[in-house]
Amino acid sequence: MNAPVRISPLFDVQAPLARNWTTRERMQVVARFGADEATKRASAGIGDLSFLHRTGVKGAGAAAWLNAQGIDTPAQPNSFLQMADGTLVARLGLTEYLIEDAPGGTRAAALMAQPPGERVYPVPRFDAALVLTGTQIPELLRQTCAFDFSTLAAPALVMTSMVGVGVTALTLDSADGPVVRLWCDGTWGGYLWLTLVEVAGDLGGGAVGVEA
Amino acid sequence: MKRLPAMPDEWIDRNTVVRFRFEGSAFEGLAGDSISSALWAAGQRALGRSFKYHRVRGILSAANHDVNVMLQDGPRLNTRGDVTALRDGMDLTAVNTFGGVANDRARVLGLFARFLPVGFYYKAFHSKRLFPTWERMFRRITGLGVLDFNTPHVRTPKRYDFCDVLVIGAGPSGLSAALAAADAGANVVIVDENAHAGGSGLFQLGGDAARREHTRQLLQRVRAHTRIRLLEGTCAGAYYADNWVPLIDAERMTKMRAAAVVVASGAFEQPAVFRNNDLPGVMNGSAMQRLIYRYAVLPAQRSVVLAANADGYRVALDVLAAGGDVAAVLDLRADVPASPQLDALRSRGVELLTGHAVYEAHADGRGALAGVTVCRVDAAGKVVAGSQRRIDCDGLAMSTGWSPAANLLYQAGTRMRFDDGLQQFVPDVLPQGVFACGRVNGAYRIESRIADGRRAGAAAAAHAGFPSAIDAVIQPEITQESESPSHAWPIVAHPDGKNFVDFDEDLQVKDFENAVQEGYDNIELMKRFSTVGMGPSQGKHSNMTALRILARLTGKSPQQVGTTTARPFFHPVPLSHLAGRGFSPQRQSPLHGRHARLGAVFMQAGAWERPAYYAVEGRTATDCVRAEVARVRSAIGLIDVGTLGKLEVRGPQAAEFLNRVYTGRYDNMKVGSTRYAVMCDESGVLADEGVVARVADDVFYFTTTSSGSATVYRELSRLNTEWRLDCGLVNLTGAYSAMNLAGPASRAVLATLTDMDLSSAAFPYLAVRSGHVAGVPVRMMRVGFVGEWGYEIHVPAEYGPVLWDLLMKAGEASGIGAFGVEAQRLLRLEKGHLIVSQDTDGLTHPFEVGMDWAVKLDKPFFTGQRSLKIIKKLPLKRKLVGFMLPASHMGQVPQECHLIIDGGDIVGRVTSISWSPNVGRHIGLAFVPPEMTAPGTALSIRVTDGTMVPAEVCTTPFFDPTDARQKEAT
Repeated sequence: MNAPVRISPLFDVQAPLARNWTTRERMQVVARFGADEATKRASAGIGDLSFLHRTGVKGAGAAAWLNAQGIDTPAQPNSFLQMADGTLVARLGLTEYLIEDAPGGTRAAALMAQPPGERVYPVPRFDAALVLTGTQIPELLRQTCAFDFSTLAAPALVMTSMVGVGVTALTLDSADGPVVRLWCDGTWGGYLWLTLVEVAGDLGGGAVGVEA
Repeated sequence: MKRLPAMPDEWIDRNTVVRFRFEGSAFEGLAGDSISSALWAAGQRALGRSFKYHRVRGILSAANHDVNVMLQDGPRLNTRGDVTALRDGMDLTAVNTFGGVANDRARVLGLFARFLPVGFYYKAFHSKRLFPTWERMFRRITGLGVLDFNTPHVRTPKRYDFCDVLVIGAGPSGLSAALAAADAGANVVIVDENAHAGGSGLFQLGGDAARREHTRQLLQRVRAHTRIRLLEGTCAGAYYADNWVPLIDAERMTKMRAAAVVVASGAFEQPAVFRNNDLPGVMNGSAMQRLIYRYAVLPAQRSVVLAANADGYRVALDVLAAGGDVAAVLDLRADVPASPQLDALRSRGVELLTGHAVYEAHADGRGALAGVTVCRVDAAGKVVAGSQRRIDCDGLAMSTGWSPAANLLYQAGTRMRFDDGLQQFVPDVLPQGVFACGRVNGAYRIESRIADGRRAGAAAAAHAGFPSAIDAVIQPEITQESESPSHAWPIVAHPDGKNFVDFDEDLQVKDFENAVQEGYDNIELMKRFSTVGMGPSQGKHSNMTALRILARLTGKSPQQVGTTTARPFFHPVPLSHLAGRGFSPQRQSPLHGRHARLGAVFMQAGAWERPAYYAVEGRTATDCVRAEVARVRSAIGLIDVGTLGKLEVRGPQAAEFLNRVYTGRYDNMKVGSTRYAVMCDESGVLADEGVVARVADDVFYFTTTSSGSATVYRELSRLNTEWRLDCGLVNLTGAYSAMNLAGPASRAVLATLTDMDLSSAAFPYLAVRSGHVAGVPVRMMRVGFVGEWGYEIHVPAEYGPVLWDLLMKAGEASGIGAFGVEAQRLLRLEKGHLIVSQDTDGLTHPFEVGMDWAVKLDKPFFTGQRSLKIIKKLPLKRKLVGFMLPASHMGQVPQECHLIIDGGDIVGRVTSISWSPNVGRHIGLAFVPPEMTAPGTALSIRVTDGTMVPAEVCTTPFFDPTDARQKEAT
């Protein structure tokens, strides 16, 4: 039997606004929401990267086990690294890790297929994964989160609450301005996405598809 | 529209005329005007009416405290005229009048003042029977403004902001503080409620332009400083813990978090108290100066100044500098210290009357000030008989004292002390991270305010981690004043009263005397009885005077009397600002969209939105639910149970962990089996329940209630940390979707999608199996919450919708349909299964609900065990039982929480009830006393209208008592 299609946790809230669909990593995702996405992306663009494969592990043996599987681990809690193949490894606490594949990557699936080692506890992750871009993102964060992101020198990782939802946030700098990655439990994802898109709308931004 | 020649720091734009209407008449003002300044410039003196006696009122403070000049501005009500910027096209009417300001019919109330003493309302309208009548009447004659329910929603998004040092108040001391802190390296935000910064430094000049230069230079530096953000038109409305200060501007509320806070909020000038001190034209001295220097409006042609400090003399000089006449300066003090201001006034030929007060103010035919009667007062403030004399004037400036704007300091927990020399409360002990400077700190001279600001700014910066060379300790000379800025008794008695202390509530001196006489002789009681300080200005111009009166009447010092607490927000804030954008987190199952497409009517279940039932056109909700129930019983149904908490514990001591948190035993479970689980708290109260599945020797997957998942995970994580067992806990609630395929056809339908062995031998009741369904990896449990052969299927969330679709498709031929929470509740009720928090409450223990079998008291330990051992020895007080209504029942049907009555006493309550199509009766669960649990016992249930409905205790389950539906058909 063919592997089934994956559904984004944001599918239900995105469907009414979607203009075109496409497929990424066997997940149906929105290619485009509208014609002015470049403008929105430059101001306060909200994109969905839930299609990227990811997994997690936690426990006292997690770091050693990940290293044995060929996964580098950040030295400090609340930090992250990007491996040469683009795999993102975030250390969420003393002993918890999030591993997210780059597009086309297979490390997450490989890890989940391995029997966990001693004191290693697999954490399957089917998060809503968002990316925020544009010059108005600092203002959007000010309206939605009590954490002072300006105290972080990008790149940085922080776990906080945004519009009442627990999120893991990663700030990056890019040539086009600040970029923030967000992960949250997928069942809160629809609410988070809708709220951020509404706030972004006030700031000249909004939802952007993966092809924008 | 008369204006003075251009003032150096005026707020108005003389090139932009603004046209507006007030009380039906057309007016013109200038951009930058406040409503009041434009009206005053146009010669309008009656700007509003007072709340109680409907007396004509004009400008009092021009500082955001003129609560008798509140206006209806279209949908905006209670717009404050003294500070609200004029807009073109405004159509304004004064609130709280009957027929307008000029001819307010309610002014007749003033004639009955003697019959409306303090506490009148408490004494006259306490009858419960008549209260609705009085309430309607008072709602008609009181109230401030008209609420337009069609007002469009105004979006006011809130935001967070952060800084090292927040300075509140941008007068000379605040500006100095901001600069000192920023120079030390701190990022500073300085806010001022006024439209423009500078504070009194730009309008209390005494005709001396040099005083202005201090502030201008400070302001210039602040504006240029890269580490300072100046927010004008922004009010710091409250102080909360950890230096959290909400900042209110015209658009929104900003939640500012600062490492340190400097309060440089200044002081409120206090009106003197004498007969008719409320006539338009009588105003605070600082109000006159604001009119002159901010709006270029001459407050009056001929003024009298009532002074008790140097500020009063500066007012007189400012009036003269603006081209007005000063008929006289009265000073409450018998001895006035020498000063350049005094000399300047003498040289201008202004009459100076020391030891004098205003005895009474007189109105002209329109109710505005026409003159004052002055009198001599002795050292105790008593009028010297026969000393009265009239002076004609159309303006009276009151400059007799100040009250610190210490509201935020009180909220921060500052201990204040009354300084007899200053006649003012000043900070005694400030909380960590909070600093005060300027007038609120007792520093009044411009030099001392600047020095105090520098000190406080440096101290705040140091607290925030930016030390500097500036001495952060208060030096005595900073707050040493050559004279007291406030008079101890700026109050003149008058036999005919109308000497107002509180302009919000029209409280007169005699009201306080009466209150004390009636025993309300401490500040808290007096406040509540007299309502002083409870109006819109919250006592900013009345509390200090009321305190002085109370102190004198009770023979106490102001320190002994103390002050009341200014609660957040100390200044009114639009509700739209407080509401802001609504953030109400909603949790949706991965199958939410599927439910919506099927017509689900959603209900809130904790944070989740769950389908209550699936609507079918032309059917009632009840019919829809019954159809869903019938489908499950006769064919097959599918329900989303993904909202259940889903946890996994893994490790050598995973079983031990579960043994400790649940009342049952889990170390003896076989791999591949499931077991019901009951969780209690330390007191033995039933806290949660679920199913534990052993999927490997060292791996248990278990569920919690939907509403309890977050709490249970948090508590179990805490316990795991505390116990240090060799196991790890993972929350999979959001990561897994789950659905229950139930009904006689469930196995056959499922078999079309999987090659797993579904025979009862290979997959018996209460077993758990892992495998694939339609290529999707699953964990399946054969559980029977709804009393049918069924499979609870747990899958990765991203595959949930696909599997749902496949199951619905596969079940089409068997008549499959989705069923919601309401059908599930009925199905489980037929089986007699309880729902935690519906059929239990915050005191229910397992023995009351027949779960003795699930409590293994012989285990070494589990949470709540000690309490349950004690409870077990005590007689039961109540027990959950099943009951039925008679088959012939036709009347009202009891509802959940209706009471069971026996002999006139409440003996129990219904926890669940529903019509059961399969039983053919209303069935339910109820708590009853132990002596009423025998099947066949008659119950009497009282419904809402008092009718008693008979019922009968019966055994459970109501349906399929032998669980035949879980067994292979023979």
